[in-house]
Amino acid sequence: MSRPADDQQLAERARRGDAAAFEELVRRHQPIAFRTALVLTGSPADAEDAAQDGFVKAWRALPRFRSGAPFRPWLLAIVANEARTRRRAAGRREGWTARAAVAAETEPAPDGPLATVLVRERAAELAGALSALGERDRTVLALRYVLDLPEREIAAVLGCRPGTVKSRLSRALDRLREEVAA
Amino acid sequence: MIEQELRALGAALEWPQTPDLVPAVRARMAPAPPARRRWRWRPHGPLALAAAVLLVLVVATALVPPARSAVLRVLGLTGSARIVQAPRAPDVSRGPLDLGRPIALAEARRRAPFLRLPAALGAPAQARWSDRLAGGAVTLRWTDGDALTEFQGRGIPFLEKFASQPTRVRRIRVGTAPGYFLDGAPHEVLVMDRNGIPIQGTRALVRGNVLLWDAGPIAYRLETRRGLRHALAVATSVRTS
Repeated sequence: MSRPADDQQLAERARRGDAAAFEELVRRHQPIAFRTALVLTGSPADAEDAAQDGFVKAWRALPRFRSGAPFRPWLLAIVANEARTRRRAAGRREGWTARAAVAAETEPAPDGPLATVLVRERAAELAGALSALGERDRTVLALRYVLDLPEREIAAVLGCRPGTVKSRLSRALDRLREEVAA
Repeated sequence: MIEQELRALGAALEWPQTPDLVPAVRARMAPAPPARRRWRWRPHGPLALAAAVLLVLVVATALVPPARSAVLRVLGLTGSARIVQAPRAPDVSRGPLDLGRPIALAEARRRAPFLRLPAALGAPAQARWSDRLAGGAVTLRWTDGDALTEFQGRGIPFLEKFASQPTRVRRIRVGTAPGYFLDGAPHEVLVMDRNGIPIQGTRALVRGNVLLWDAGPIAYRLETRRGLRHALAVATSVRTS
């Protein structure tokens, strides 16, 4: 069996017009694209639209994609851009922190009921502190610790330099600690 | 460390299922015809139901490109599902229908007081609860692959089933209750919300055979690897009184 092609090989083939190669890239990256868009829009329907439009725009923009560059940060930057244009100011958005509050209620602990209660209390406290933060802080924390994106990809999503990601993360963590302690 | 706690909380998050974007992206990759934006509309008011029915037809036809020019033929209708003819074979790369999260049987009974167990199958191995299906549905699973979903019917089907040529659709009766049995080949299914509007990203593949029937206000869906005889034996053993 041959090894599956890596992103760069697929992107190179897609750049030359190989639609099947691009479909493989869509299949491979649709979960992270959808979740990134979900963190940014707060709505599954908007996230699906943003991810879909992002992939279509990426396909059309492939001739401008720099050969040999990593594909995922480039894709996530396009998807994030789509997500941001979809975010409507009006209306209540169920952000990822609402999901965090639900997760806090169900988070299991291995050491029996008392430990479970303690873990859940702590998780609920954390979820509450998150919801008290500003959206900029919540977003950067979600991209780093929930989606587990490396700093380079967070920079692509937020449209800033990796150094800026580091300082934004550090400030967001400080504010989260203050909220938890409050 | 607060970072580790954040990671733990993140790992416990329940994400909505990632929709399969490949077919939609593929359809829009062709240079011609130009990409059309998908439209979404959430109607309110007295026209909502009529609009929803129309939208289901529009979306259902849009989902199967070869049928765009023709409205899909309805093969069957129960309180829970509309079965339409699909002009092409199902996409077998799709995931299974999301039947919700596991819960204890006692909790399932509390949430769905109408819940009945089929005597023919004995105690279920697992119960699942989904808020998404019909506004609240319990699914019981057994180790041999049988799964029975129960919910209160509400007059508007919440599942759209796409039966392609190899799938046999038979009209049957469970006691006196009307129903349908689908077998012979996998089929695709789409979940609709309480207004009858398809929920994006819910299109799924059903590999097993399915028996659908209504008993009064309760609608049932049995999925099984076995045939009609077994399905009927299970269905008739559900005490609906």
